[in-house]
Amino acid sequence: MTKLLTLIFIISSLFIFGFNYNDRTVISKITPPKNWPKPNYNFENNPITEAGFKLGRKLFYDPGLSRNNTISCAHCHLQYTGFAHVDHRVSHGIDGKKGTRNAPALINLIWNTSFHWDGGVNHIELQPINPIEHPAEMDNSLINVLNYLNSSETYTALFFEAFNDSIVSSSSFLKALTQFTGSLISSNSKYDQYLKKDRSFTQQEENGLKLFKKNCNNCHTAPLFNSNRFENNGIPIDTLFNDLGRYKITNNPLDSLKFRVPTLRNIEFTFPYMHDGRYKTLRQVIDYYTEDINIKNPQLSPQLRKKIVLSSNEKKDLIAFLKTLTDKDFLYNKRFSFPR
Amino acid sequence: MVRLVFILITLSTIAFGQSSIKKTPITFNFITDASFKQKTFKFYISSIKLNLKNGHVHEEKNQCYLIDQELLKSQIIYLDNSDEIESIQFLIGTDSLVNVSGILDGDLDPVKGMYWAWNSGYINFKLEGDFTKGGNTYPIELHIGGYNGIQATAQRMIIPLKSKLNDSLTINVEPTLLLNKLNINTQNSIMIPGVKAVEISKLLPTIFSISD
Repeated sequence: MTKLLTLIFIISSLFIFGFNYNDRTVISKITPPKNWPKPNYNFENNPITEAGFKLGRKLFYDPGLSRNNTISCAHCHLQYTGFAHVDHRVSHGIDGKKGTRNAPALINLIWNTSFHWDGGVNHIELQPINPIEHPAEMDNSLINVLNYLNSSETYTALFFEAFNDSIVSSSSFLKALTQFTGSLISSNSKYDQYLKKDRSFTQQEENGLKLFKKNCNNCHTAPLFNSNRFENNGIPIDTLFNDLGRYKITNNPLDSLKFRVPTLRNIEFTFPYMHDGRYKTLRQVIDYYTEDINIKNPQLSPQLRKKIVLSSNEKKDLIAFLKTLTDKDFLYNKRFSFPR
Repeated sequence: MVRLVFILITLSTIAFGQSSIKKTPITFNFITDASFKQKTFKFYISSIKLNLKNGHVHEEKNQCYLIDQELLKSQIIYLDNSDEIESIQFLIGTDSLVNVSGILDGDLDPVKGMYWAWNSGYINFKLEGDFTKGGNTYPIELHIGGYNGIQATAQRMIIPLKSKLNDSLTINVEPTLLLNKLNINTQNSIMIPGVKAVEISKLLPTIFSISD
């Protein structure tokens, strides 16, 4: 009996040891999908391990990062809506306080050269300090978060597992979060499968793709369907927020009312649209670009100065194409979900 | 094998005279004045270069020090040196590379209160307190930062030494020299990068001196 128990002990120890070992090994360098550009962040100084990724995911879903234990990152970045904040014009955070912008989708972030609608944040690792310290979001401080993590035996063990150091530092905390957010890659939409000739488009989607290439791809450039540029798309300033966008960062008057060109991947689910969430539907957005836009506005982005003319059917075709950018494998990937 | 490498290193050190390198302490000496009631005063010093009599230049690349008026330990830096110092050169602030490198630790850890998250970058120079001038007291809140293009605020300065020192060096830091140069009504509060921050950053070298 004792021998049997010893054997069971040894086997289970080996299992646990082996499991831990696997959790610490670098799982993979993120390999960009074929024909995609090189990512801007390549995890060179932050190699992804299973332990680091899972820790980042736990942090992402933990309301303990906020001042009163109510708001997690996922509060405004829900997986099923492309990690955007669905159904609210501007996002709301702690104590129901409202911000001034719609939380952007977290998709293919490692290709971004800057973050936020105004591009004020220059590095993926440092972005989380903003929502943590913003008085209308998590209203906490980085030091408080580190104290919270360091006083939790669960977290110090997980940090030891991931970074070989049980003392949680700004560096290990932010790098763990980056291992998760940087892994949020969406590259298996119907459009991607169509390119690989695994699926075919309907006539409507084909036509929508043509219209897209002609009218939209200049800014929302495939394969990422964004650009790392800031553009003025002419939507009038909302006097409730008086948000001047990029100007606040550069102090350059030419940047007034310019905002980041967001990705259109999973756009079907990341509504409402625009930096302040003023449009609820894709049809409203397309109606703006085709009907309501003032092409004589001298500040308008040059790409928009030629009127886009689309018939009612063409608008439907374009929307049908945009819906092919939905990637259900990404939106329902259990690996990115709340860890149960 | 390890032992052989060790012997080779030792021999080459002796052969090239590197053994005469020693650590020279550089002390930042804060000079206060009754006109200024200081609350917070800290700043970055980086890319320090010692130009030596023997023609050598001892340069510290990628090293940033946060000098904090409240932390005695932060006010002494030890630098490699091998001869009499003819001049010392440094950057007041952090260079642009540091500002785009993601999360950094040590003196560059964002918890040090010298990092702007919403407009990424380090606050190079932070001075807060109450300044009395002409019978009036003005609250001072200067957070000087910005690294990009025309917003860059890091200032390179060089201080020549009259007497040839090599065992220690004291750099005086006198914030009232800056405050007296400001337009106290328009330049008492700066919290963002931009033209106003750049203007003040150009005055920063005037507060550093060496009395030798």
